[in-house]
Amino acid sequence: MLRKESLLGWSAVSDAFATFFALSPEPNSRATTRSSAPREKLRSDQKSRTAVAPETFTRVENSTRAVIGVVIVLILATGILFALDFPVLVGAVRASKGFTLDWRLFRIPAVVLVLVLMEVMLVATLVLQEKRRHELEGLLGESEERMKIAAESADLGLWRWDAATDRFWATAHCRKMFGIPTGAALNMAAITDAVHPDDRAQVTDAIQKGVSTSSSFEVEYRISIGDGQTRWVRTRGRPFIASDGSIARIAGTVLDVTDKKKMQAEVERQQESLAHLSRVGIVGELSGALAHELNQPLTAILSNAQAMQRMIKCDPIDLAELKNVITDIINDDSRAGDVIRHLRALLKKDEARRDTLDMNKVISKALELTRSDLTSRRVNVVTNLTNQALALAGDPVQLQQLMLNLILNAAEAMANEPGHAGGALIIASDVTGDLLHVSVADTGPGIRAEIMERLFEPFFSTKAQGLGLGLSISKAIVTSHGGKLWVENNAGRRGATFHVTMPRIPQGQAA
Amino acid sequence: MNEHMRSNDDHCVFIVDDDKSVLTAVSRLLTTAGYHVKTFDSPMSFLAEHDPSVPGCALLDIGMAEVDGLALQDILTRSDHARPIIFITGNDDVKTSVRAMKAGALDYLTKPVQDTALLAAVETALGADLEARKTRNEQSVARERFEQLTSREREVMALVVRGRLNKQIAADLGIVEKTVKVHRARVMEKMGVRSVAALVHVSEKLPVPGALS
Repeated sequence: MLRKESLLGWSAVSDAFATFFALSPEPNSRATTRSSAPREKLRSDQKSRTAVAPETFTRVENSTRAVIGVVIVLILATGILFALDFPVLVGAVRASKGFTLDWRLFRIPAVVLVLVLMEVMLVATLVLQEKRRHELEGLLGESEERMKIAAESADLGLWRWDAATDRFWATAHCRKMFGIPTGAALNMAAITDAVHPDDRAQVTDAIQKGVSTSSSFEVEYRISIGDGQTRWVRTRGRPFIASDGSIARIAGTVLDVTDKKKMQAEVERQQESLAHLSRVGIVGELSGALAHELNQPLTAILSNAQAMQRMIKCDPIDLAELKNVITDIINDDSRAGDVIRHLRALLKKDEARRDTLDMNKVISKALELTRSDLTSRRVNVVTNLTNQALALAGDPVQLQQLMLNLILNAAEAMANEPGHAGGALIIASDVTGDLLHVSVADTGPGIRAEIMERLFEPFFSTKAQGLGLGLSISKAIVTSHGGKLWVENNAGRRGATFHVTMPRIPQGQAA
Repeated sequence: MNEHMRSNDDHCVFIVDDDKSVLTAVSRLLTTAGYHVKTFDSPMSFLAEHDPSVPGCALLDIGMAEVDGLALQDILTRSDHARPIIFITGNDDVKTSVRAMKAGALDYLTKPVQDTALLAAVETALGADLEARKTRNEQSVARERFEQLTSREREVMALVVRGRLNKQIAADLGIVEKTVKVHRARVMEKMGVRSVAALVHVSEKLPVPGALS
């Protein structure tokens, strides 16, 4: 009966403990400094319970508390029994004659003895368990320490967020990254404050998406730490969902990617200057064509002006015709201005832009610029452009460069061939789903299988004077626009075709 | 330029350039200078529409799509439609200019072209065309007259042009000197000349020199 009572008492105590610890915002200082991964392993067979409570105890801790409860109850019971029975026993001993005692008198002391023995055993168990716990803790601490060192050396911060309390647990490195001192409170608001204002929406979106699909998420953003410094970090997180479907906690890592970003920016900058260099090359290649483009309006202006000189000497002066001449001069002047503006755009070293462009217009402009060059090479141009809008977000100069590269490349492929002067250049554009597709086909010798693979490598050229940058830069341009550039030999006829696909802005969305 | 310099008003400058603004401006300049002008914005329309019998010169742009200026020159010189050609080009390319001049171009101007240079070239070209047409005219007259001669008269004429005396001609042909004199008088009459020198001059205009041998 007593035993039953004590058992009841134990479960009550342990339940009370469990409730207390489960609700406590910070179970104990040891638990907060511990990483979740090794604990996860320990708890794995208690998953049904631990899945609910974010900060549940380890199995060892659990049984220790139970044993403590039982021991307390047993000691109480023993004490009470002994206190009640002691006078009876003493009286009996005194009243006895000789050594013949009634054994029945010793029933209660026997129970007390058994209880005491049980207590001793339990305390021994407790001591053993405590020892085991210490060992485990030591192991845990060691593996945690190792993990922390490994994480820190990889510039990786570890964190865990508890939904119920809105508290973050984070490694010191993690705090350092976010510029939050060790003592300061760490909650969602503090973290959000640290995120660069421009990136906050992006971070929130990523987390929400992760939570709603209960899958891992990854987001790259800037954090502003003191003195106007900004660092780039990448956070990976995994949400843990409670059995009622609500978010229980999110655990994850955060990595400082500032240096990587800097390097990436440097690579992009170098690529830009390379692209610029190759544009200068194109301008050189097109110098004849550009001179022609510039000469045409200049010729018209000069002749018109000189005609005007004669006209004003006439009597009467034909004012209507004079007005026409002036209008023509103004138009030709702006035409010359366009050529120069375009030339400057090609020669200028500019950062990549994203404007809404019509790819068909880019193609037409490139053809206009290369027209006299193609004419002198006796290349026939066939265009087969779609009537559909080919809107895309892109850099006007880079896309122009891309088309000039592909057109000049095709023209040169055809010119290099003895006995096949001239040829046909077929430019087509169309739409396939979300992509726009542009193809530039020539009737040249085609591309030999052995150079097909190397064609887009930088500094690979089959031309005597080629730098070998045109196609590699074209590829870089297309890639930076989220597209693909590839080449194939024409099936059933001479020559090769370069294909470009890039994501387009669907009709209606284009501004 | 000096409009009075032009001796003949029956002329035309044919301008071919596929750049419409240049075409308009140049034709305007030539019109204000008093020339008759006909413009074509493509070599094809020029070949299809222009009237070769109208005297005048052609002003061709070199860098044109379809058929470039040099190819057009080639077509013109191979046909009977030959007329003086002035090229205007945006590219001052030595190779092309040499090719054009060798193929008989009268002038090769680079854009933007000054009015003085253009008008001088046009004037020269019109003069050359006039001269060429005059020569062609004389040639056809000479040919017509030559065709009226009998074969004996042609033989006599060939020998006279070579400077043989009547006595020598008689010996060459195995006829009497008196007969030679009669033939010679007929030749002079039919060819419309009075002296041996004039006959030599006319004979040079005959298209087939071999006809005289």
